[in-house]
Amino acid sequence: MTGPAQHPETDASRREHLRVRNAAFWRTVALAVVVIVASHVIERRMSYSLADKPMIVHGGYGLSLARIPPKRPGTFRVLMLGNSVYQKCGICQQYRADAEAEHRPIEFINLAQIGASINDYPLELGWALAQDARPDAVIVSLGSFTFSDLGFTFNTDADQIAYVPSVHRLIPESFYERNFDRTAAVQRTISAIAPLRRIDTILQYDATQAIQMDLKERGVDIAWLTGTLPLPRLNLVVNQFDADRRRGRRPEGEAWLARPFKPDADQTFNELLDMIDHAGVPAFVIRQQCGHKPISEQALALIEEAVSRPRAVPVGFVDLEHLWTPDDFGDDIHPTREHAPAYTRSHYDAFIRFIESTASAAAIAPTTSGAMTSQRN
Amino acid sequence: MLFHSWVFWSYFVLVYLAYLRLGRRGQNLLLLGASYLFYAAWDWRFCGLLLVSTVVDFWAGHRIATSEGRRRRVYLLISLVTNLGLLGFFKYFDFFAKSMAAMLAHFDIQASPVLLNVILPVGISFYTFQTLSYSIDVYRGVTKHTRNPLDFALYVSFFPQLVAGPIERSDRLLPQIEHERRLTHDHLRQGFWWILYGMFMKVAVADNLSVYADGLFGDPAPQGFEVWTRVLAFTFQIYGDFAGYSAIARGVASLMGFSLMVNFDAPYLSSSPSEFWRRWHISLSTWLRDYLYIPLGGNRGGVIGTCRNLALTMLLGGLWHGAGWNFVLWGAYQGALLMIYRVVQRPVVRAVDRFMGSDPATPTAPVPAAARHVLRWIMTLFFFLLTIYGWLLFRCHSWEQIVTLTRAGLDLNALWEARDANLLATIAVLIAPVLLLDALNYRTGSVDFVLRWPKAVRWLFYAAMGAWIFLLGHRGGEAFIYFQF
Repeated sequence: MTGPAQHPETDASRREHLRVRNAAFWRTVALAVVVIVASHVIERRMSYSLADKPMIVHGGYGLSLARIPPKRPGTFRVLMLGNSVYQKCGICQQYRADAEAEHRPIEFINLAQIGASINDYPLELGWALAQDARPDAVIVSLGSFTFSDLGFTFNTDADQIAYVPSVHRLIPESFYERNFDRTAAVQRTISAIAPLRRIDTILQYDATQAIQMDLKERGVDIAWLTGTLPLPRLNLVVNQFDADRRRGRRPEGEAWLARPFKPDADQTFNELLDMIDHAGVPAFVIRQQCGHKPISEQALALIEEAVSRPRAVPVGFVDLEHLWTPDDFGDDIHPTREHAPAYTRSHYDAFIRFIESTASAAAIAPTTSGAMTSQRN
Repeated sequence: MLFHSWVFWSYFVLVYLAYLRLGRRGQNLLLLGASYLFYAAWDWRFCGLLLVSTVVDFWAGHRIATSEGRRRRVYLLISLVTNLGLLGFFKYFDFFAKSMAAMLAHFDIQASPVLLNVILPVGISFYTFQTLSYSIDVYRGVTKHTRNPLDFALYVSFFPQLVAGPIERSDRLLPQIEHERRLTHDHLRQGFWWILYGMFMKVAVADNLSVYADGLFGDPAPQGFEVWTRVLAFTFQIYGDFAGYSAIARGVASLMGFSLMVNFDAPYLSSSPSEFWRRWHISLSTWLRDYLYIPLGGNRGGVIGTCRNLALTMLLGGLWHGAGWNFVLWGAYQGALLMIYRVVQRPVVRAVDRFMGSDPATPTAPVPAAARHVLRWIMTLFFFLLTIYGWLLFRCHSWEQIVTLTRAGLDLNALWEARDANLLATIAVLIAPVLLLDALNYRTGSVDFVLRWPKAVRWLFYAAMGAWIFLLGHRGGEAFIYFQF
């Protein structure tokens, strides 16, 4: 037990003090370096290529784990921004399958995340562009909740990469001014320096899941504990189609009760389109149907105003609401397993029509060799 | 800037690295700046209050020490009025105004009180008590006044204990600021252990339990079983939360060569209310004892006088926790327990001794140690149940809620209805390690028991605690409960 500092002044004690102080200094430096380096190494090891995966695998989390490989020559790369409908309903797989069936050299990179709002989109796009994704087009899929105000600035963990310098450079400063106060900026800067902060929850989720599965295989079920404890769930549904079997339940919780419109949604949407414009590629905006509730009229006016602004690149807009009946949506939000292919097909066809109307038409023309067959789902 | 956040640790690493490269004066200046920045992270405007408290008490301390006769008392009064005035204004003004209006409404007098609606400055109760103790100690001659305003400013604002204690005494902390601190390996070992222990208590225990505790106090129709399990969860939540904060504060200070007082010492293993208050929030209970209870007369006025002093001390102690009648009620409840214990203690002990044959008046066989042990644990359990009920009073936000929960808890027919075995098992898993740590602490007399273990065992233990925090720790980042006090 150490008491208050009452040390007799001797050379020996002073030498010891200086030695300990020095040791403490270098140990702290070493610890800080280890945490920072280990953070980057762990994140790098956990990361995966979005060319290989049809979606971000941790639901509303883990954008920073999604890596985008260099574009292969001769392919037309499309980045997809969206919410759970695009992430979890097999939409990207279907897009890829349709393109492959038509021998079109299109590569779809799916950046959609469960619950993503309009505020998350610029960051998701920024993350891809910062990795030199070099897209040829961007699909911006808008759902009933994209502009909703759920009470959070961000609905996913996309904000955790906001202060990565390469991302920060690509996103308008006005976006930061509106969405990050000093505290949030400091926290996200720490995430950029030591990514362990932003992946900590995912690590915990993966570790507890692995232990739980391992124990279960050995005949020990600890679901009574893990099911009760407030462990992270990552806003993750393993398969969105599971929702089909829980008809009537609303997986988005209070989403329907949210205020329909973020106050600065128009600015954010325009900033997103400006980013795409700055990247010099066409943007295709899809107003998608989610269940029975149409996108608000205020949001529709916002979309129409933004897409009609003169820009250097073509901006397309298709309104695919009212094509479907509520029965086509198993849980009021997501298309059913049976219905998903047709739902996707309508999106895909609209997108192809749009690109064919632009200068990039030749780039997506079907090839005779069927070369674009290597995308794995 | 919460202790269990990345922001705090990033900040601390930067401060610490600079600290380790400076001499004492430089260290103190650095810590002073770091402390004000730490406080400003909540709200920079409150730094002014900290400054006012510092300036007034430094000046008052100096004047008290250099004056004689009645003038000393005047300067002490200035210090008391300033500190209690700040506390009263920011913390209690609205509470008393509303309470007065409510009381008048009972007599059909409609009053619309003037409310300040100011945000409670975080930690104000802690640092005002700390500065008050300085002025009083200088007045009493217990401590010498400091001549260095920067040292005194650091004493008031020292960031590890600024916002939730421990409430340090000037005769303990000021000398550590005024003299060069000699860092030893013991400081580092102890610091690391206390930080790990505190993080465990906060992240793995308190924040997880908060989910279950919160469930009860928002439930309009609670069941008996649920009441007790969830109040049990709150009992350990508030302990884990506050003891966790104090432990981290102590650990952080220790890494810098400071020694802060131990604030919690296995309180739930107490077998009496007086023992509980020697083990729970020790820095506050000793403050109340030294600056309120003893000046009121302590236990010198017979049973009635003692009971009066206890009641008054605990009522004010309850009110210190917050501007709400639930806190006053909790203080009254704790005061009542102390009074009852004081009254019945001697006759009961005598009766037990007689029953066990150890009454000196009727000596028979010596009392078996096992029997004393069993009796002690029965008393501990009994008193623990009373403590749990006290936390129910503390947490409820209305009289109606107290009545509803008490009724539900006492409905023996419904006690086992709708019981949730998973809930109980999960809460048991969360509190078991706390009880184990407390039992080891109780047995060895210090939470530092781990530091006496062989190195390999110690590191294995650290790894186990670290793994527990990583796997089951709550990542919600809940603020510490005691910040609001």
